[in-house]
Amino acid sequence: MTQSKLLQVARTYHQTGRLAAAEAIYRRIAADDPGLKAVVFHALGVIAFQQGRHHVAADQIAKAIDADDSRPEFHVDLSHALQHVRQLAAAIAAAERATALGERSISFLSHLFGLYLDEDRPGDAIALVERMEADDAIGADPAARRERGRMRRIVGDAAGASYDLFGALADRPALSTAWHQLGLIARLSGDDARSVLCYERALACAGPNPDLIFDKGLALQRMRRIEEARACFREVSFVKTYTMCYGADIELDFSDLDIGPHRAESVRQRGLEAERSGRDIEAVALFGLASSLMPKDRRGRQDLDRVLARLGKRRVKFQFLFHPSMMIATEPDMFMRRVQLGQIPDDLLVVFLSGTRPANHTLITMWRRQLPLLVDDHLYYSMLEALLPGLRATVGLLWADLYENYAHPASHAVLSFTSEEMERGRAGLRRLSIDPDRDWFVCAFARDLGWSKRLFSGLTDTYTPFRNADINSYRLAMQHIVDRGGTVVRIGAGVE
Amino acid sequence: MVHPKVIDYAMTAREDFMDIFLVAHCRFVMGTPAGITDCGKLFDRPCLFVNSVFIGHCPPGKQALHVPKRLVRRTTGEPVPIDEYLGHFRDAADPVAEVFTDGGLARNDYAYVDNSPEEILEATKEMIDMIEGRWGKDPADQELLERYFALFGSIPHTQAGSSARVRQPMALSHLRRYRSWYFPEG
Repeated sequence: MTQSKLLQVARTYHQTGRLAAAEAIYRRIAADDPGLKAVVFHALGVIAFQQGRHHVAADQIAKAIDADDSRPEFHVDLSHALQHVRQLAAAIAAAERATALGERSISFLSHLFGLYLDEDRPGDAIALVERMEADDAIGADPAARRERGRMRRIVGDAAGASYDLFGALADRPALSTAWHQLGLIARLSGDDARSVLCYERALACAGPNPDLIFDKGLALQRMRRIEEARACFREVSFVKTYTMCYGADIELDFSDLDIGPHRAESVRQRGLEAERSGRDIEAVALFGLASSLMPKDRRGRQDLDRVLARLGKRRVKFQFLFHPSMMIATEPDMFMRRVQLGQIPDDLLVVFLSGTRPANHTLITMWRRQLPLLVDDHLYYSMLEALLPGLRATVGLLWADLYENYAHPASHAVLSFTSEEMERGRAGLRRLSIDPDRDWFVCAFARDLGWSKRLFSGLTDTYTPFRNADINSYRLAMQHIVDRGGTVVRIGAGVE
Repeated sequence: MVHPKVIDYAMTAREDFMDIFLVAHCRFVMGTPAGITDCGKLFDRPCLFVNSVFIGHCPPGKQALHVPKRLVRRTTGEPVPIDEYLGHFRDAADPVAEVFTDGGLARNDYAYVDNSPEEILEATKEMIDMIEGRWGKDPADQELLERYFALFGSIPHTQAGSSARVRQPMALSHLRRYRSWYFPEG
């Protein structure tokens, strides 16, 4: 059989999902014909990606690019593979190369946009959106306009986003995702009543959609229409499992919820999809929830056990971080100190959950280097809603162990900066006129009304004001530090 | 405070990355208890918690010192007796709610009084002493601290008690200044 015929057969196998057979033939071609090397390495990379072997995928596709650097689709696929193995800077470089070679699809630009945000590079994300504004092809496609509108919303361009979204709706009035985005924009401007209307329009177009119902619940909650908000949360919540909080096990009890079996099955299906894509941590989270929802159906439990066995674990628990309004910043640190002190059993997998709007994106990036961390608004808020009522009563009983863990000589900080981050930080210090090699400094923070105004705009500006203080009351202390040769840096997000 | 060595980074140059980098590389963090102040302990940086509430509570950390706000009656400004304060932790179903929520404070006619600039200065000096290994060496101070730990020993929500095994100290300057409130028996 000729090489081209073999390639044709391999592609047929590949397209029909017979991945192992396709891979075997691709490998024969690779060995026999160096001239087809780029195409074959790329195909082997795609197969590895489909099988969830993302490191292998990245290696194979990189070999394809070594053979032929001019194919944008190679760089596109490499970027996706690198994203899965959390090599975000390299994923961005590959994506930028793809765009330089002419890749302009909206889905890919959206991917690059997400990478910029994940890497804490909002300036590049904004620049990307600005470059897209002149793209006529996007303007002509309602779905593409909807996506550009979403990206504009995220970078804070509410007017541009609205323009795109209404433009998309002019062509496709039933584009539910555009209504959803408009609801989120209304939320940003503090107009929760308008956002509820938008979500309802979206629901009328799309039918029951958990994310829409959930966002509607959040808006109603902010409007203090608590019972309606709870009804929304009940409709989409699917939690009955355990979580760890401040080091303790807390059962999340949603037993009063009427959750239909279709909901549980849809959670399970999401888990299967995550497993097929090699996203094991996400699969564990979803299977864990599915098995809690379907206690009489053994499939959820079997799914969970299968993935846990592959990870060398037997049990799973969930832990929360980075609540956007309360910044539970140290939960993972408390956990890591327990690990250091041998308090976490080897067979236990702890999955950390975060929303997409954490109090600090850098901490998310740093913790992701240390922990299995899943970022998913829906899982996060659903489980947090279940957790909060029992939180305060439990926390008080646990302080003693926490203090002991921090004071223990074997307990030490686990977060660290990469050499690239160190350089970035040192440059940042120099911008503040602090010599990183010679100067010492003290960070000073006073919570004030700016915090609650920022988080509860339109609702209240007086949430727990007794915790506030006036930064000016630090003036004598600041003078003392300066007199001793130090520098004082006032810190804080949302201070006045 | 306007001074070239006092930098209002929060109002002029704040970004997520530098928030964390600064806290990780400072000599110590001083601030009201909050997420960003807590981040100091992620990097085992010393932390001075000023204007902390509720009384007796100091977040955990390798080197931590705290100065609480004072608790007074909202309507009269009179100090709330220590026995009444500790009584919430003996008797209330949710003692933290009594002294750490807007509703609880209103219900009990309580208000917290912020630390004065002088109190914060004294605590800052103590923090520097602690970092440089000079803090708490005086036997009289040790005795005062032991009394403080014993006083709060029955409160599981704080670190002060002996049951916690690890005892996070309050600023000695604060204990000395308000000794008669903490120890009315003398």
